[in-house]
Amino acid sequence: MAHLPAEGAVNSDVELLALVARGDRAAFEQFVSRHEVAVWRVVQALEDDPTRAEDALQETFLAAWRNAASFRGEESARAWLLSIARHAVFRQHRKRSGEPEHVGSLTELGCAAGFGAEPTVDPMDALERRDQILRAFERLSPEDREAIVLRDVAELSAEEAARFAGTSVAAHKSRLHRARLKFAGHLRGDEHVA
Amino acid sequence: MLPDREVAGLKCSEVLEHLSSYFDGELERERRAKIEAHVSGCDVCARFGGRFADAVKALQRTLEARTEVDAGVLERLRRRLGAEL
Repeated sequence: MAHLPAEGAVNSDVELLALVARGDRAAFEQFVSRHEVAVWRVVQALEDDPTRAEDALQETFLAAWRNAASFRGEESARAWLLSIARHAVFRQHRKRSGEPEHVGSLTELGCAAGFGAEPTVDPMDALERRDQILRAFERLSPEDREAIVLRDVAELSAEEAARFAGTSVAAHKSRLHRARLKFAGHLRGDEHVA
Repeated sequence: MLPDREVAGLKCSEVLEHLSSYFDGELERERRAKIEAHVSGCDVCARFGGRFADAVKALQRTLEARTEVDAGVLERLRRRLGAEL
């Protein structure tokens, strides 16, 4: 039988998951409390549909409960959990999308984002418009959104984000930069229409 | 058309290529200094760099604000975990 220390004591994630693997619900509750907000932030940013985002959140923790014994501690529990969340979100995306991704050159992306163009509106006025920003973000591919979310929301390092996404650090950085340029381009396009 | 001027030994296209790494603080000191020298002599890169940084920061703030957690989401999570564990 697994035991949690006295109330107030802090368990490491590794200790908690070892207890969870033996079916300790109290340990699992503690683990969920510790990570639910971080997982929610990632799935909500990757999935537009609130219902599907909630499904992914719930599936992530159910999978964590079922698979706690497979956690080896080679990565942080947070990274392990986020990789489960990633699979939950992308499984839903794969079901819905078959469209190939357009890959523009960096120059093309830069020009679309306004590189070399005269400013036509006060950028801060436009940037502060929340809906415009979200609309521009939601036009990005799931992979582009993921690169941004991992770094700018989940605050993972480039190395952690690359490992998480199963790619090289250089490929991750390239993806992130292109995603930000595309976002800036979508935002600029929106401003010109507005 | 991209204006690809060479200023301080660096072209605009090279600045564009490294802009994210620059803002993320991931460039080695020498390249960082070169970019700063280019930008201080190139109004196109200075303007775009400022705008790009504003866009990245605005997105970050917006995503953080959007992801404030609704108590109902967490309550439904607890309910489902309670039902299925």
